[in-house]
Amino acid sequence: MSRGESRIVAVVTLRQDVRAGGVPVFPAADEAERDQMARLLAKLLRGTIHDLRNGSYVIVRHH
Amino acid sequence: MEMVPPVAAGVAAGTLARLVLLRRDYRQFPSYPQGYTIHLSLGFIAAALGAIAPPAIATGDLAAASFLALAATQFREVRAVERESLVNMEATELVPRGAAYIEGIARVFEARNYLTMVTALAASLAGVIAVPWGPWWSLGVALAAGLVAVALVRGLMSGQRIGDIAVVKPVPLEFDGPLLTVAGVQIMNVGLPASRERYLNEGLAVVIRPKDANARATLSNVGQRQAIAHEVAMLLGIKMDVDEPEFTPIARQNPATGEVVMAIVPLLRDERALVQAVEYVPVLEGTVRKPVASGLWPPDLAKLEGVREA
Repeated sequence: MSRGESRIVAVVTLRQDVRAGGVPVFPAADEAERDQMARLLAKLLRGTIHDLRNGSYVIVRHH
Repeated sequence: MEMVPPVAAGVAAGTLARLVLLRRDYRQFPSYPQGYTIHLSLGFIAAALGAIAPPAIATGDLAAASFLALAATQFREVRAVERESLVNMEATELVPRGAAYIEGIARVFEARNYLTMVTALAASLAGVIAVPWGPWWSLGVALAAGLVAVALVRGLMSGQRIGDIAVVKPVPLEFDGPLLTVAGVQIMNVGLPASRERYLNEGLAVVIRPKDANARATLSNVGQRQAIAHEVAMLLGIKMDVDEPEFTPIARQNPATGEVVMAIVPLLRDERALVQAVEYVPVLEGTVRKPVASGLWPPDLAKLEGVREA
């Protein structure tokens, strides 16, 4: 039940055409790689993985 | 010398009251030896202050009674100290207590010292009244009054619990795509399939159904819900670490019905234990709402406003 702001710290996506905007974007070749990468990044960044259901995961740091 | 029995009995009764209150609510604070020492010592001082007031007045020393005012300042300090130490520990808790719970605990600690003082005062007063009958009578009457006061304090200070204001039931948890859903309420987006798997295989969920509109308003307080999450995680344990924030238990309210739902991956996977743990969470004084008492609510709505029958 965080009351502070939440921040997107990384995006892991199956889409290859996405250019990085304000956050780092990590393209993945397939779902297995995406899941693996998201898990590693979330552990590093202490973030939560959220599924946007369009092939992209966002890793969000909740405070 | 004739005032020794009432004072001694008052101090004893007051310290006993503090001990009883310390034992009653072990969950309000870690009951480590240090905690016991600190609070029993403070309780002893409070009892002494309360116990000397009646003899002081009886012997015409009115200035001594003003020490009670000094005590009040002292105990406000106790509250500040409790709050501060709990706030400092907050960052080390996997599931934080939340500001409302900390405030509630701090308030309880202050109040308990006053109760200790009042108990000692009552015992001592009875003793002073009985002084003309001799020291043994004085001691006996003071101790009897002290025991009655301790019993009263015990009864008075047991506040409400979630089980008193709501019906708690275990419910299955499910996923709607990545959304962890309990009783129709979407709690959070769990992205990783492996994490969803862990929730499904090892998780439990409850629905907390408020009994009336007052209870509903109380449960809508975010601090009260955080207290529930903290207590449940503490009593049942929780299968997570700091780098797995998706397993942080969150209690969400269904805005349509007022029901609060929560999912958790506990170490002790027992539905009955989970229900009991939730029912045993104290209703925090600072979160109690009584909108129905305003008289604005028609009786039918006040009773079960939008809440499905249990």
